[in-house]
Amino acid sequence: MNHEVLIIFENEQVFSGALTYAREYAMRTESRVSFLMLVSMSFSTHDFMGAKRNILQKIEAKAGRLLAELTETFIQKGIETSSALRIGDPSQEVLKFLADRPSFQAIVWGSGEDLPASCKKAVKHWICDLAENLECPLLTVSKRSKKKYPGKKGR
Amino acid sequence: MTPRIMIIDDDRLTLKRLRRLLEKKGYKVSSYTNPLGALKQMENFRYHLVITDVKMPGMDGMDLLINIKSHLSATEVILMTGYASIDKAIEATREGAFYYLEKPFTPEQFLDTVEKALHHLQVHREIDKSNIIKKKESDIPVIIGKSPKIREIEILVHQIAPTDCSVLITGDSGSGKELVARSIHALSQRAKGPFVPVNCGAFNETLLDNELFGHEKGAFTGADSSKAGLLEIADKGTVFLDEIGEMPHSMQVKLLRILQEKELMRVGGNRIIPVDVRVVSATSKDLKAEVAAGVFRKDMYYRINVVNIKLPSLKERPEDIPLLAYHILKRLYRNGGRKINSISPRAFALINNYAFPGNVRELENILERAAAITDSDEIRACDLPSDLIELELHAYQRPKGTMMTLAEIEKDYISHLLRTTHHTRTKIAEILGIDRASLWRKIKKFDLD
Repeated sequence: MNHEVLIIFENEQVFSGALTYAREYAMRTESRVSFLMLVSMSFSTHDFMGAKRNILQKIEAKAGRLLAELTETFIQKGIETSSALRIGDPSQEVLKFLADRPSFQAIVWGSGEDLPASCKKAVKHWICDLAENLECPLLTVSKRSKKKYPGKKGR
Repeated sequence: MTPRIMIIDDDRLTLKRLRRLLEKKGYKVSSYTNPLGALKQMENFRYHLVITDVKMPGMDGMDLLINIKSHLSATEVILMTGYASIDKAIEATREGAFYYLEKPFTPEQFLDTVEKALHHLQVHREIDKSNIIKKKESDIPVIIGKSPKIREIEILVHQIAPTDCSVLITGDSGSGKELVARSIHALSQRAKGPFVPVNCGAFNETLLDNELFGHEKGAFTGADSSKAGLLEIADKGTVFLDEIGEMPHSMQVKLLRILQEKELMRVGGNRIIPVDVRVVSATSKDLKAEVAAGVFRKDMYYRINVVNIKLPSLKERPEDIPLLAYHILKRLYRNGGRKINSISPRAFALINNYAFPGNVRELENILERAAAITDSDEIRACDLPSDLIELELHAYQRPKGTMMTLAEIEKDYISHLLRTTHHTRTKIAEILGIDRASLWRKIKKFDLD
């Protein structure tokens, strides 16, 4: 059964609308929710690992706290959750994460509402390219402006 | 067919004004000042919609409504009155009135109500049509929809059901795979036999082994008595293996052997039991890719995939949303829920523009919730979940299977524009950079009208 939704965040940026949508959707479809926090970091330099160890520990502690906060409202609503932190190249990390897991019903982009605009640009956000290779739909959420409210004119 | 409307009002001026409004919109209109004369006319002609005043000499609107509904149940009735009260409105809707229109009203309000009533009538007529077919075929479950993809599937199901071949149904979660499987079983020669659904993803290997093949007494600790497996129970019928992609590799080997030999042995047993089952499987996974990756056995794949039925997601057949929505509301009412007569245009627009990653199952949930919380006989935008009202969703997904042809892309884009512009053809022609005649030809060609 793939009644599971994945919500992806990048560099600790959280868009509350995406969280609301994922929560409501999970409640509607009785799905589990997985949180994936991606933190960009390059490991290809010749830096000593020791120098990065401190930074990694700080990231882990900070992102861990954030993930715990994010999952709390879901748990309160009785939604089963799991969370993961991946540090490295975001695009590669998402693919590696997905390869290890059964397929999801939907993936929600949790770090902002400007992705649709970004996907139209010449230099796209990495997730736009990735979306073409995903098994399930990638959903981006934005706040509905009054202008965009469908059907308002027709009344 | 142009809708036929009858207006009845003892006030000639109002009658003339309303008649003109409707005729301007292209409807065929008959008007009467006398309700008894109108009733007589209804015996000879079928009217789609009757709009009547409540207070009239000879017969009042309520009696007229009861009379119409007892003889012509398929005709919608709108009552108009200058003396509206909540009790009267409730009574009218209980007697089957579509709407209780309070005077004075604006021409927009009047036309909007008429459009809603006719839309409601059209959707119900289509559902009734499919229900007639359903009843004729002894309550065979039917997927609701008029989209070309669903029609193709219906034809395919009718073709393959009488044969005994294995069927693999693929499609996203919530797209109606089990419904199709039940339909295949009901149309097959095994219809009198059992239909046994098994969710392969819900059990671990040991449990699935026990569930499918059964066990003999004493086979393991706690096996106090013998138990027949689901395959044995499904003898002379159909077994529906849902989420077959989740089946462990070792289990695939065992099942394949049983399907080939048509016999099984219970866990801990030594007796060979013959089984005659038809296998219908379903998955939301890309099994071909699983085979290529070595996760799913190739021989098993070919055994279960003699015929493949690919179910479209709800997003791929948006034209079916209204039909499905009213079908769901009717079913909810039949199951003891509130009677909902319509969905407001704003609520409809929100539903139509939603991506439905959870497919029909999610639509069902949204409508069930809305029907439970609404305090009227209409589902309004405010009855929908808050995320649908406040948030907008964009979905990105690669086209499944083969790449789309230019015609498919063209059809998709035009149907998207029809939805988003609420069928404003002038606007669509402008966006596409073509003249209205070319647009009309394309709409006709792709059957989008």
